[in-house]
Amino acid sequence: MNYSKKVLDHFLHPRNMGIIKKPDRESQVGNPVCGDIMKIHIKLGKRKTKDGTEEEFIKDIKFQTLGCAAAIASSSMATELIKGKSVKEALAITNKAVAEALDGLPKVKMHCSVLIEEAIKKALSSEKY
Amino acid sequence: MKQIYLDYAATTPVKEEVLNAMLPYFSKNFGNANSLHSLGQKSYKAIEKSREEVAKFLNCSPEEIYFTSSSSEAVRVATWGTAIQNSKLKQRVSGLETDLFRPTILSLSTEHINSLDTSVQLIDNNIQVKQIKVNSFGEIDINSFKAQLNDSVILVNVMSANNEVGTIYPIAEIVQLCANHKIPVHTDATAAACYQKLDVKKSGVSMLSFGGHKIYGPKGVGVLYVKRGTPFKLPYKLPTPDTPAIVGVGKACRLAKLNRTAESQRLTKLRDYFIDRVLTNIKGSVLTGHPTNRLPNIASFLFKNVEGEAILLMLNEYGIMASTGSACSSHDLKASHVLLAMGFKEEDAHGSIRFSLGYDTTAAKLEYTVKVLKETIEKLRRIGFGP
Repeated sequence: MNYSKKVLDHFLHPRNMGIIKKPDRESQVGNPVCGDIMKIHIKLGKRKTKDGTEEEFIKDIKFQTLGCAAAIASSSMATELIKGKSVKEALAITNKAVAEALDGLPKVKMHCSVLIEEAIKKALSSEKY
Repeated sequence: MKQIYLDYAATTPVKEEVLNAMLPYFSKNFGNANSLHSLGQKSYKAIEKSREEVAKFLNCSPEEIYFTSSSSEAVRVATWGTAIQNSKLKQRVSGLETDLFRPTILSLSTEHINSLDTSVQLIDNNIQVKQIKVNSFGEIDINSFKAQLNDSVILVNVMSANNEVGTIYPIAEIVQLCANHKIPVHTDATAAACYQKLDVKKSGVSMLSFGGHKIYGPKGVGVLYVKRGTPFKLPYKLPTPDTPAIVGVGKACRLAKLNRTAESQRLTKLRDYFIDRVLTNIKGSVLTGHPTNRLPNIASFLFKNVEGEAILLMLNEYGIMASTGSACSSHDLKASHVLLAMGFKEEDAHGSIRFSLGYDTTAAKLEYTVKVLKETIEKLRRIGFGP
């Protein structure tokens, strides 16, 4: 499998792996049959924006992933990308952005980035925004 | 960083003696063996000498040996060349019209995917393909197999030993059972060729195939044995022979025969030591294939709650090289058909790793591999959902 240096880096040294004891949001996607399972825990915080309104943001995020190198790297990169962002910004993340941030994924592995996007949207959509 | 190559079942290095035998035929004695002049005849003689060497290796006549481009091609030629001829012969004997006579190929469900695909291609020629089922060790249930044999079966494909899990098959017994229905048996001996005595006279098998690059010979050459009298016709004219590669496989056969007993004994000991260390030290690990009736060099495992490609890439960082039956590592995202045929679930097959030992494997290298493997699996389980 032809992986970029960034994918290998995020695979060998994943960021944000683990669990949050009392998460505000969580979700699990994938299934053992296809070989990839991803779970994310999110801690939300509140902060004031520039125009004085309040917004919720991703205070902390952790992932657990059972899967191949692309699945682990996608989880690591995606959580890095949305950590500290507002919930609105986090919901706008796309699998393409995750793959680009990793300097690309092999075509046959793009579904790994789709899966982590699904996990994030599922977690943050558990209450309507 | 030192290299610990444990993927000999994928391919082997060309031994120095084999390479030296091949070299003169690249640029010095480079003639086309089909040419009538003396340079061509030098190639021709070298090929015939190699054919004799291979015939000694298999205990057959040189006229019964064909050289192909690979063991995959040898399997295809064997299947196409026999299936169609035997199908015509049996149809004539049965007296049934074409659309009433349903010829059948029986293929082992754990056969190499190339062999299974080749048989499936013949469905267009009105040929049925049925699988011979196996148990959780990959062994054939002989009684079920006997029940599948009848006069419409035109070919039985059973490999000599499985390349993924190492289980060895009773070819001589299968040949005997098939003989009652005049069914030719083809055996793919690619994985077995280095370590098992392939005496075709003793087993009585009709056809046997293997390749150069799994027996410390070159890639780009395969061998097909076809017993005289087998209903067989070459499906197409074989191309210009690759003289250096053919010389190489002959030499490789000679060396394999000389080293077979000692190397099989040495690797069996190392394999069993390695298996024991892995199963003892790594939680949630299972050996796949028959525990004892397996090739001397294959140690294949399933590891729970961890994915095969991820294990391999981490091992690779430490210079350790192996392979996996995980779907994530294949281009079609399908899990190993061998493991599925043995009754393992898809989610179990994802955590499969095959280590295959070879000529430079030592106890020290295996000990280091166990240490790194344990750390790797523990790390991946921490990233995931634990053991």
